[in-house]
Amino acid sequence: MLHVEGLTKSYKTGDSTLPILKGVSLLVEQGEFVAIMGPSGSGKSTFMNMLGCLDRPDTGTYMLDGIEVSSLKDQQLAHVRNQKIGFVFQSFNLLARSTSLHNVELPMMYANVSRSERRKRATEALKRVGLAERMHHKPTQLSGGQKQRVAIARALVNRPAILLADEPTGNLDSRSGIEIMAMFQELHAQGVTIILVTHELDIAQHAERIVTFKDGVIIRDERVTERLFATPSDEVIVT
Amino acid sequence: MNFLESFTTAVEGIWANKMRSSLTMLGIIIGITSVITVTTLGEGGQNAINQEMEKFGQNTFNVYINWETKETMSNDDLTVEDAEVLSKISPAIEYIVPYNSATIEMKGPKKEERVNLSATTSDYFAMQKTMKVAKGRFFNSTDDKEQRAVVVLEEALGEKLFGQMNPIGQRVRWGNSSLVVIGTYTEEKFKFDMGAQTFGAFVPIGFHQTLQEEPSVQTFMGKAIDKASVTPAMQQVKQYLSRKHQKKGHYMARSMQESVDQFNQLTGTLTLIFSVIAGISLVVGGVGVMNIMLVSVTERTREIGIRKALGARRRDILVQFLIESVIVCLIGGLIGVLFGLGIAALISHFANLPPTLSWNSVFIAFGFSSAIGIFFGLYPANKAAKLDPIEALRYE
Repeated sequence: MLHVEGLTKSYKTGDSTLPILKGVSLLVEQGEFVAIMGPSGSGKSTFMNMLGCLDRPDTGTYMLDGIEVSSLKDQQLAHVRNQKIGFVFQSFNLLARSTSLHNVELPMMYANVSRSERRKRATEALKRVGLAERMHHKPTQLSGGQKQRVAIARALVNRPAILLADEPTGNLDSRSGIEIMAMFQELHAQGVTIILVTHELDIAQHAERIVTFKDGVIIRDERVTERLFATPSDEVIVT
Repeated sequence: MNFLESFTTAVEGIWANKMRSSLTMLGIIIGITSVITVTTLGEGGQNAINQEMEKFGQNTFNVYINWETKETMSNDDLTVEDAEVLSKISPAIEYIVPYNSATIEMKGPKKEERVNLSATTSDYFAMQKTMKVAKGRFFNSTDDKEQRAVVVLEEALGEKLFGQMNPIGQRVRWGNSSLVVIGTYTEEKFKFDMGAQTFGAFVPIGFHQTLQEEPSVQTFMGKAIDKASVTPAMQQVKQYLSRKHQKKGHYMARSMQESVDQFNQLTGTLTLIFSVIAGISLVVGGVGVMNIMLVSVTERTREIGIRKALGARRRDILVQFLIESVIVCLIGGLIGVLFGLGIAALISHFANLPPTLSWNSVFIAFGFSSAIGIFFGLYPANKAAKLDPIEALRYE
């Protein structure tokens, strides 16, 4: 599903080049739920940007769903992001002016999905995350947890190969955080491949596997032995 | 994303920043308003003056002496007889009359007045279209032939000289001559002729010549049978006069059409100059658009990042911002056209010009506003399109 081999990336700062990734290899199978951990500066965010096709590696290969993406042009990368990747960000990154429905429709607009089909699929996606009632609300009228669920609906609506979540609970209170993790676990149970970046161990323990970064390399890659299971509280939908 | 979607997105973007969008539009509105006002007034004024000139002198021409030739001047370079012969021999000429004019003092029982006295033949009254008999009659060919001391007065002049009295049959004095008033007339004055406040009066040129020690004629006024005959008529007149008087290049002829053309060229140039000046404000407006679009791009960096992460290509972002600036400019252009036409109509109304709608300038205005939208929108839109998605997503 996702196969990274010998990935390197360095940034120029003034005269010196600062290596961020020093040869990273990783294989993620379809349907896996992987957490990526590491202190800040460990290269995990840069790695996420590579996986999300927002950036290109200096060297190394990246196969995503059968496509070699490391050598693609900007325009093709945009297409891959649109079709293969669903992003969930720490700060939600919803368009503030637009309703939940419109936000969820956005990826399909760039995929040239017809208006009626878009409306149908966005509505379904919002139902799936329990926000059918909040379709016509704008982000400012939603709680943090609800915003993140809109973002998840948006990430899933083009049926991507992987769901990339970058600190998805970072801006949430613990109860909303648990709700979101419960949702990830449910999606995982439905067969969605999820890669989750976090620096909190108790969040990472909701995944099946934890990959730990340090100084631009993977230092640990192990299955979660004491896996946590989040139970969605009953009053999730009504807030 | 297809065009319609980009359009909708752009409209939403404009609507979300109503205040800023309308301030941006203001620059374009002012620019287009001034361009439209200037061009509409220019075209309106030109049309009005052309109409007037047509009314006063369709197919007419003047014949006069060229003062710059080496030929010697003599009093009989143009004669009454020449005009008579020409009117008979040239099939292209409908009328041709000798014409003298001078400003003189004319004395009536009530008052003495400055008068613009014209001396010509009776054909003149048939040739022109703007004079109408008020009382009595114009002079006729018999008055011409017998060189009668008669005069036709402008009606208002008659009132000045005679007061309440009926001037017909009365006498006026001009120097040593005493003239019998045989008629009065009213004249449709040239609308844009601000200077002509002097009253007019006409005497037969035959009589006028008897008063001169060495009779002379200043000009001939002619009228061709139709528009196409104006140039041949002028040619024939020049040829005849040169041959008859044995003088080369001594005679000149100028048609009303030539004067109109020259005038149009002048007003056209003036309109162009003013349009360019007005156009500068349009460019200033365009710079305003670019400025605001740049602010907008910076302010919406994060939105651009989100869109890119979700699969927007460079082109999608470029088109979105470009459409935004074009829409702002087009709406500004539309309002500017309406304002411009309104102001032009208002000025026309007070300046007594016929109302004009210059479609040309309307189309040009729309062309210009979209061009400005694209030109000044391209740089900011391109800046937006080239943003790095990672940087853009991190932007606070």
